[in-house]
Amino acid sequence: MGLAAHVLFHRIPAKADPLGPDNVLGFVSGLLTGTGSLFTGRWMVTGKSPLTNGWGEANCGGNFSPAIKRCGVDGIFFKGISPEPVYLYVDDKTAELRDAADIWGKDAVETESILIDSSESRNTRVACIGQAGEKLSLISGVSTDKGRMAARSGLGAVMGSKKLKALVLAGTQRIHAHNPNEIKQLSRICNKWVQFQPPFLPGILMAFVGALLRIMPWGVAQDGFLYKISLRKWGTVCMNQDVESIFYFNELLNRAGMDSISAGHAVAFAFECFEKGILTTAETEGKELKWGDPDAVKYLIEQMIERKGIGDILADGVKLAAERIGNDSDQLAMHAGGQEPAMHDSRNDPGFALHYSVEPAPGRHTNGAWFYYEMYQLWKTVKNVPRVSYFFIKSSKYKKDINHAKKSKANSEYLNVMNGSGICQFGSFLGSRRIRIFEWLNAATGWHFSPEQYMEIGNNVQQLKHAFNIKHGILPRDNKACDRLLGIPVQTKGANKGCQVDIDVLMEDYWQLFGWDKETGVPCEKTIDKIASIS
Amino acid sequence: MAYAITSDCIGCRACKRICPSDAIFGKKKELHTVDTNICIDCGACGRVCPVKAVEDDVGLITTRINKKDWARPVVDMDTCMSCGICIDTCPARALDQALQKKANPHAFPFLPDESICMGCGFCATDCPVSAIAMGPRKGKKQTHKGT
Repeated sequence: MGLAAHVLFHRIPAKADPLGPDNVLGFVSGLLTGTGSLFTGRWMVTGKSPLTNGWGEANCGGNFSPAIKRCGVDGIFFKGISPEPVYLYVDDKTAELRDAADIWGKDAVETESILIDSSESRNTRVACIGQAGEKLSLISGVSTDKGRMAARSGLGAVMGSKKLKALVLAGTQRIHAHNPNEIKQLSRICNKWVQFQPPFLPGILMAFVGALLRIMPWGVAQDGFLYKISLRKWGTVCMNQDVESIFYFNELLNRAGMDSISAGHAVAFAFECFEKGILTTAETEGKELKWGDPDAVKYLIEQMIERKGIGDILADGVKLAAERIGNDSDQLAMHAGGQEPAMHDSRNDPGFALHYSVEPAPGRHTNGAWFYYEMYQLWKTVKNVPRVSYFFIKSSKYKKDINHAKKSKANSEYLNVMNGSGICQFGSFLGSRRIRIFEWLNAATGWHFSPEQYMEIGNNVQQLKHAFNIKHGILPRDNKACDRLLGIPVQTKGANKGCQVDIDVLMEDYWQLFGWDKETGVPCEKTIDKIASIS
Repeated sequence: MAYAITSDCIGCRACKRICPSDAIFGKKKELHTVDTNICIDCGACGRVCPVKAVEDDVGLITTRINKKDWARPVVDMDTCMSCGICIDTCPARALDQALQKKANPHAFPFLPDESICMGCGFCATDCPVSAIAMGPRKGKKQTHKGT
């Protein structure tokens, strides 16, 4: 990830068109991928995002990350535009762009099957775009393993703009580490915790404890409990109770290579516009857009994939859709800096609101949150980061406290280390003492860095990504999450009753800690010198 | 380091046929060579060479071993954590994963067709929890006891 930040910062000229030839699209593996460490099979797609016009990144798992390394490289970068559809084929001997006319127009699952079947190697892995990327939908992603998606930031459209249908990797190179035995030792410690299942905490008891904590005024620091996003976007957000239809929608989007999070927001946005009379049946070919109607959801998804009618308006995300529709519909568009947030309600955890707003790729739920910080348990391995007490008063989350920004700063730095290492965020929720990223990195590279030095590297990567945004004319304040994500207007009933996030104070504290101007978020002179020295 | 072919080579192409990374070049009945940039040190060429014309990565001449006597991976399912690293690391794509233990939701690795395995031992080397040992061949085909 640090490699991508460096390459993109230098190689993409200021204010370059994200869908033009000057944009650089990068596919990078993790430093720890394939070394025998656990949870380290993540890879990232990076580039200038057409959705936010700033730093774009999307993270994905599966088998593609080791495949990049088995070709003998750490990352693959593309610049320019091909006149005809092509795909990249790489094996141990060659790297060549091949004609993709036969597969252009096919969905992601079909494309992957065709390319694997036609490959001369048994070790073939594929990442590709579906029809959404080809049609330059700004909410399209890159698909692999017939259903995994590097979905965020609209980087599928960048791939489509370059007429690059797929990457086919068939390398067989070995992935070496400095000290494989030490890596294995650390992996065994990690595995011990993965296998750990407390027999005295059955699910029903946990559900009872969860329900109890919800009504109590105090909270408990999270420790090692994983959560899972399913398709809440197609269920709760659209008020759809038909579970089977949710699986179907997911399959449609996976095949088309469209981001399920952003597409779900676009559909919900259309429903609300229709409810308020901003959209009418005249724009929807007579189709009534009613909350919870699976047929209406299916209609909108298919229209978005094909870019027909109302779908053409929605297929570029809610911010652009609101600009196209007008009529104050921007009040209904849920986004931060142009990117739709996930299902993680920032009114419950203001850390989400902060990370949605201040990160170089805004609106991504994996950027950080305070409950993520609780689970990372960084204070057990890193000096000078705030400790979280096991019990706290819930209302303290909404009060001014510099420790909030300190937690988020450490969160951002750690995330950059994790993304650079290829570590899965769910795995890192085991806690930094159980999943020993810093020690793995030393064992894999032969370096002798302390955790604090790795956090400083994470800080440098954050500075580069932030400087990338400044270079491309993104003003940090423009990425602020929309009002409804912050509890404006404040709710008078329900789970979020009275919850409002004072985002301006949090953003200013966070910017100051990174050496950015308190008012504008632009790096101060001293920080600019630092960025110049690291870039 | 990489494997190398000596001048004793008779060009029978046995090594070229088995090499999983296509690192061996040469015409039939002519001296073959190994591309050291591509060779992954699996040693399969040395195990099939009929004239002892292959040197390993430390310069020792390798000996031909009858294919039925090659060591094959044996998985200890009590230790294995189903991470799939062995499957990914196998250059011959000989391993697969399936449910094998009753009431256990984990898919463990197994060797569907032993004839594909080259006995390189990368799966055992790379297993983070040492759940794979290289042992004698069991039979022509292993079938998982699917549940």
